[in-house]
Amino acid sequence: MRKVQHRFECIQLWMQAVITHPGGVLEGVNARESRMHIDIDAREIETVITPSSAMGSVDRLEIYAKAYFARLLECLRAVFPILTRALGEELFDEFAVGYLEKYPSSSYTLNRLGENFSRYLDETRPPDESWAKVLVDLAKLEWTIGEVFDGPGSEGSRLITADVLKNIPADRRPEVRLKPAPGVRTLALRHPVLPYYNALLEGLDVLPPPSADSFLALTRRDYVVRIHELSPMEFMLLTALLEGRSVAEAVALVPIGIDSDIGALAEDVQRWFHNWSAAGFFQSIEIPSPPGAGRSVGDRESN
Amino acid sequence: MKKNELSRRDFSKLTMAAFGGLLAGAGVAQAADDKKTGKKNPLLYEPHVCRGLNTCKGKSKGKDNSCAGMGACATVEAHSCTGKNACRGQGGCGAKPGENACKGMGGCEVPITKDATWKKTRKRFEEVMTAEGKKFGDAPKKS
Repeated sequence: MRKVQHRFECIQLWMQAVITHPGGVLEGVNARESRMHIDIDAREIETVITPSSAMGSVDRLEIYAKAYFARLLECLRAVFPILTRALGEELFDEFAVGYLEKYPSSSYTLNRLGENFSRYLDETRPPDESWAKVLVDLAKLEWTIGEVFDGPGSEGSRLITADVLKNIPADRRPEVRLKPAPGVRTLALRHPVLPYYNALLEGLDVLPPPSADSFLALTRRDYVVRIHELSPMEFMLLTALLEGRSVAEAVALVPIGIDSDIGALAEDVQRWFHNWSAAGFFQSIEIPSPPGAGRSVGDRESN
Repeated sequence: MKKNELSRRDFSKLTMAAFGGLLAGAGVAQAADDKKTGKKNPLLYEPHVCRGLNTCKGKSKGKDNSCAGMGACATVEAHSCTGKNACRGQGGCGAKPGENACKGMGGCEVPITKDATWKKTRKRFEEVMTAEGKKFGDAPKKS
């Protein structure tokens, strides 16, 4: 077959498109992404990749294609070590291969490789089987922990201080908005997978938990991801605060009826805010400036 | 007493409780930070904490903080402190770059159907449950 000279850049881009194609080398050669660079089909592959005495052109390319996916599998295992432990490496790899076919790596950084993995598991799981949903939640938790670990944290930055809070006039306090510390987020799951995750992390052989709603808050302090379990009401309030609602707007979410025990509710609310604040969830505050005023209290605090 | 009056008063009480909690918690966080910065080795604040500097130091259940694995801090009653102190994403994936064999990389070229994988997962689930002496029901038919 006649060998055609191609520009080096074209060969690089073509080869990348071929070896990263989730369908394999043959499909990769025929794919639009590779034909954009070198317009050949699989029958003409020897015009670009010379066969050796021992291997054909396709086989030679497949070495790179397999290595590429092997590396991605390694990455996914590194990102989801606990899920890998729960499933076993072989099963995990099977899911991972299916995932990479449906959600091929498309980012410049491998840090995002697993961002759709829990979604993929959810999309492909058998319906109405709780044990399968547990794996989805476990993947979701593990991914979120990784995101919080890799993302910005509160290390080196100031958190809100008691002095600043004390200086806010009592009548303005309900308007206060709390700016979250970097990395703080809430997570709602359909299974309480945190104890399951921790047990697997410790290397224990444990059963997956039965179905029950689970609400978590995650943050990173001193480069360690910390996870707090929340009640449903706590989750609702904290999520509202993280979304930028004021203290009053968040508190308004607490359902109050004629028969409510306000004293007990107030104790709960106080404890929740205390725990969040003590855990370093908030970095600074903002108060809407009164008409005609200049800067807000938050401007002074969040320098 | 009318319901809306009760709600307004109660709402105010809850808002005050929230702010009180916020204030007290901020004091706790500040005290903890002061204590920490006064006692800890400043090396812990350098950017490259992953290189052998275990931020879970002092936690009895903490594990080593190797760049290849995960460190685990102690689990305390109020929250679970889960350490992920890995240098993940740095230095590339895989201990043997350049190795191009798929040996041991199961599934690399196998055409996997999702159903087959989930069936195997169900089998594994049943094995774990059986090993623990737990009962489980039949898998629902695929809809």
